[in-house]
This record gives sequence, structure tokens and C-alpha cells, in this order.
Amino acid sequence: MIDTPKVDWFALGPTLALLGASGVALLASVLVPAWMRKGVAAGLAFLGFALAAILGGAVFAETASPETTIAGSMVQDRLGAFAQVVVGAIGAIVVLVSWAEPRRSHRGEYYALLAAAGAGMVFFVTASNLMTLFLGLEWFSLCLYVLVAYDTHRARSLEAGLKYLIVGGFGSAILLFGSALVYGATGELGFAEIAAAGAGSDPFLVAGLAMVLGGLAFKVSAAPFHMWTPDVYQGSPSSVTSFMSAATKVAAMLVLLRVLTTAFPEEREIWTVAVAVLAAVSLVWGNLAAFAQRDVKRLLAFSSVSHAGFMLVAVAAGTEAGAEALLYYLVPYAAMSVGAFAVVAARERELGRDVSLEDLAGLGWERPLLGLSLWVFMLGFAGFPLTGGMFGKLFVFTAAYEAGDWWLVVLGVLATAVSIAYYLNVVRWLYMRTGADLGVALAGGSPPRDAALEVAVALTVLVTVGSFFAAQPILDAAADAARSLPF
Amino acid sequence: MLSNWLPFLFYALFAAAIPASMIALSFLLPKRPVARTRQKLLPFESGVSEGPPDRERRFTISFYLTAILFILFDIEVVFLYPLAVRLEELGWFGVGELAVFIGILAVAFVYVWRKGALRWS
Repeated sequence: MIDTPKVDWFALGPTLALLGASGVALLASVLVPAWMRKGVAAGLAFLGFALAAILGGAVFAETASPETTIAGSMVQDRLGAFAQVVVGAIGAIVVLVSWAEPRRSHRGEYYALLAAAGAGMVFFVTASNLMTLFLGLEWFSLCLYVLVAYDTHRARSLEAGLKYLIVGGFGSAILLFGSALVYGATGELGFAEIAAAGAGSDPFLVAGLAMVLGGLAFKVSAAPFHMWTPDVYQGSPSSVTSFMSAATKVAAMLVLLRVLTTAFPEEREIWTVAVAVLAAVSLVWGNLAAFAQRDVKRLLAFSSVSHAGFMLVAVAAGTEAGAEALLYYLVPYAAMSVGAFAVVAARERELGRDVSLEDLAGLGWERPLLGLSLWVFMLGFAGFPLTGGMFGKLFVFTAAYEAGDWWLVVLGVLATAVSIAYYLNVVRWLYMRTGADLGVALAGGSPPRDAALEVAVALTVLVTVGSFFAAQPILDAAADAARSLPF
Repeated sequence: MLSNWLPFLFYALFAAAIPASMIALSFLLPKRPVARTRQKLLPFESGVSEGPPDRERRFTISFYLTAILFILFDIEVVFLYPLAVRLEELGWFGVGELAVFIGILAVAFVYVWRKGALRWS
């Protein structure tokens, strides 16, 4: 007799909501009349993401202690539920950002793919063995490969799609090879079982750990595994960039934290050093390279690399305080990242071309809401008060200091000081010059207001600033989530 | 330990023997000498036999679509075999699992059909 696993529908809820939304949206984009395809598909994707966030919240509320379900392949815990809420919220906002994207064909399928990518992510964060880890990773990656190359009439988008496919496939292969080595060393797939197998410092296990870490570092775009990031962020449709930069980073960071702490607690001395090195390289390279950028999306891409560095500083602490700091950090970071790329998307649609820093000239005066929002995001990225970015950095540095990584704190503070220069440079272009000075002409005059995008940007500003004033509830939730991990 | 790998050795031997026998038999079986014209010595690739592979050559997209769709639905059929073998033990659980799998593929199938990907012209 074969033991059939018990399927826990409650724990699968967020994934099923998005998967269902994706399937129905895909059917809607061929079966309903052409004029309402985009509306129906977008509505379904929005509902799917919102439902995933709500169900994630329900799982968070109902799950006091972590438990594995479905034959140990996934874990139902607050850590995963926290990420599901964040990813669900990001997805819903990205649907709003995408709404007015000029697109000639396949308008419904875009939302089906977005929901499918979201389903992959909310599944990925609950992975509790190496098999589901890889499955989840490929699930959302495959959707993103298509989404990145979605603007088939732009050569840049196709180029980005090909680069992401090849480099991402390479990263996945490294992760898979590492998983095979870990399985070879321990004979186990489940994270907790790998830790319990006590393989000690088996060279295969350590090599596997290094490769798993490398594979995930590709996805969080930590230097030196970031080389795809600027090209892909620049080339993809801006709404896709906003989704990738926020949701992929949240999901992959969380899984990185989960794998390292639950599967490799014995090897803590090894991976804390490795992650600290990744963090340091990301901080230095991300910030220095951001200086040289003229294209706003490339600048934000390198900024995203440097933020991966800050998040990895929290992971490198290897403590519960570090996990809390990381989880808190993800909330304002995700909001700022979606918001900043949304503003760039709005400018891109106005001008009909890639947005360089010069192209931002006068945006602050022409579009007060968008200009002010981008200002807030830049201050938030740099870690100024009145935005959650400040507390995020504070908690990360505190955790690192308590763990004895004082050199990372010094490096982080230096990186922050340096980053202020290029973040404020963006603000300078927004307000100090007008478009007329530089002859930045709008394509076909001033287009109508994009209400959906403005709502999305307003929401992200709300979260960015709200996470400063309401830091405590978020921190409490982060602490609850961090307790799911064995420290 | 080593004996665990014996099936893999057999597997590898079979994998090597099948293509080797194909090549060998095509030399052994013909009763009369066959003229080895240049055309016959060229590698045969799906009806295209005009010299070495050429990066510039273009295929119609229909080939690609058909190939992808074939793989998709071929995999679906592959999964039916283990279910058929173990149906009594798995019972309704197995049927349900496969129904979910086929349901997801059915969504894709409806999409592909309506999109016109199955039309050759």
C-alpha cells in the first residue's frame, strides 16, 4: 500500500488563489470578447493577488508554530505567510502599475503570467525540501523570463529576456547541482532532515551549501552574481521590473534565510562568513556602480544590488534579531522599489523612450504627486527619517553589531553615506531644472493622467512612510515570523 | 555499495548498444553493395540534408510550436502509465491528482486551440 500524503488546502490557499486566477485569466484572454480581455484578466490577477495576501494573513494568524504538510514538502509557518502577504500586496499594486502600459497584443496573457509568477513565489517561500525549493524557483522564474521579454517590438526587451534566461538558467543549474551534492552527502531532501543528518564538515555538503547559496544569490542579485541585473531591469517593461525588483527579492531573500538557518545550522560559521562577503561586495559594487549610471532604471538596478547587500548583512548576523531586521527591511524596500519603478514607468510612457536622469528634469513640477513620491522613495532608499528605510537600516546595523560584525556596520554606514549622493542627484534632476530648459519633449503632448498608476504610487508612499510611523506592528509581525526559524 | 550501480551499468550499455546496432545493421543488412553517394553520407536531419547545420537557416515557426505542444501532451501521457500501474493502491487520490494535472493542461490546451496555434497555415 502506498501512503498518500494528506493535502492541506489551507496552507496551499495563497498558491491556489493565484494559480486559479492565472488559469482563469488565461482562458479569459481567449474566450471573452476582445475589448474586455485586458479588463477581465487584470481584474482576476488583482483579485488573485489580494486573495493570496488575505489568505496569507489568515495562515499567519492561525499558525502559532511551524508544521510541515504534504509529506514534508512544504511548511506552514508565519515566515512563509509573512512573505505571502508582502508578495500578494506587491502583485496587486503591480497590476495597477501595469494597467495603462501601452501594449498592442497579448494584453490578457500578461496578467495571467504575472499571477502565475506570483503563485510560484508564494509557493516558493513555503518550500521545506530541496525538491519544492527548485520547483518553486523554476515556476516563478519561467514566468519572469517570458514577462521580461514581453515587449517583443523593443530589441532591449528581447535582449533582456535572453540574458535573464541564460544567466537565470545558469543560476538554477548551480542551485540544482548544489542540491544534488547536499542530497548525496546526507541522503535527505527535507531541510530539517538535512540538519539532523549531522553530516558535519563533509566536503560534499559544504560544496553543496556553497552552490545553493550561489544559486540563490543570483536570484536576489547580490554581487558578484548580479551581472544580469542592470541589463534586465533596464530592458524589461517597467511594470515587470517593479514586480521583479520587489517580489523576487522578497521571496528569494526569505528562502535564502530559511535554507541557511533550517538546513545548515551546523555550518553557521561557514555561511555567515560567506554571506558577509557577498553583502560587502554588494554594498561596495552596487553603490559605486550606481554613480556611473545615466539611465534611471540602471541606477535603480544598482541601488537594488546595494540593498541586497544591506539585507545580506542582516542574514550574515545569523541571529533571530538579524532575521527580524531582514523581514522588517523587506516591507519598506518592496514599497519603495515598486513605487520608484512605477514613477519611471509613468515618465517612460510620457516620453516614449528609456528614461535617463536628464529626462526626469521638471517632472517634480509637471506631476507633483509623482515627483514628490519619487523624492520620498529616494530619501527612503538612502535611509532618511520619516521613511521605513531608516528603521530598516537601523535594525540591520543593530543586528550586525550584536552579532559582532562591526566591520559590516562600518561598511554599511559608509555605503549609506555614499548612496545619499546619487539618490539626491535624482531629486536634483526632478526639481532643479525644468523640461523646457533641456528640451525634454513629451511624446504627443501631455498624456492624460493615469489614475491606476497614481493610486499605486500613493499606496507605496503610504507604506514607505507608514512603516516609519507604524514600525512597531510590522516589527512585531517580523518577530513572530522570525520565531518560525530554529535559532 | 557498488552493486547498487549495476542497473545503471546495464542501462548505459543498452543506451550505447541501441544506436551502435542501428549503425552496424545498416552496414550489415543490405544484400548488394550500395553506392555511397555524397547525398547518402550526409547526416539526415528531419528531411533537411543540405550540408552542415547552418545558423542562418530559418524554419517556419509552425515546426517549433508543434514540437513544444507535442512535448507538453507527450509528458501528460507519460504520467498516465505509472497511475495505471498503481491505480488500485492509489485509488481516488491518484485519480484526483491526475485530474488536477490534466485540468491544468486542459486550460493550456483551450488557450492554444483558441489562439490558433494548431492551425498549420
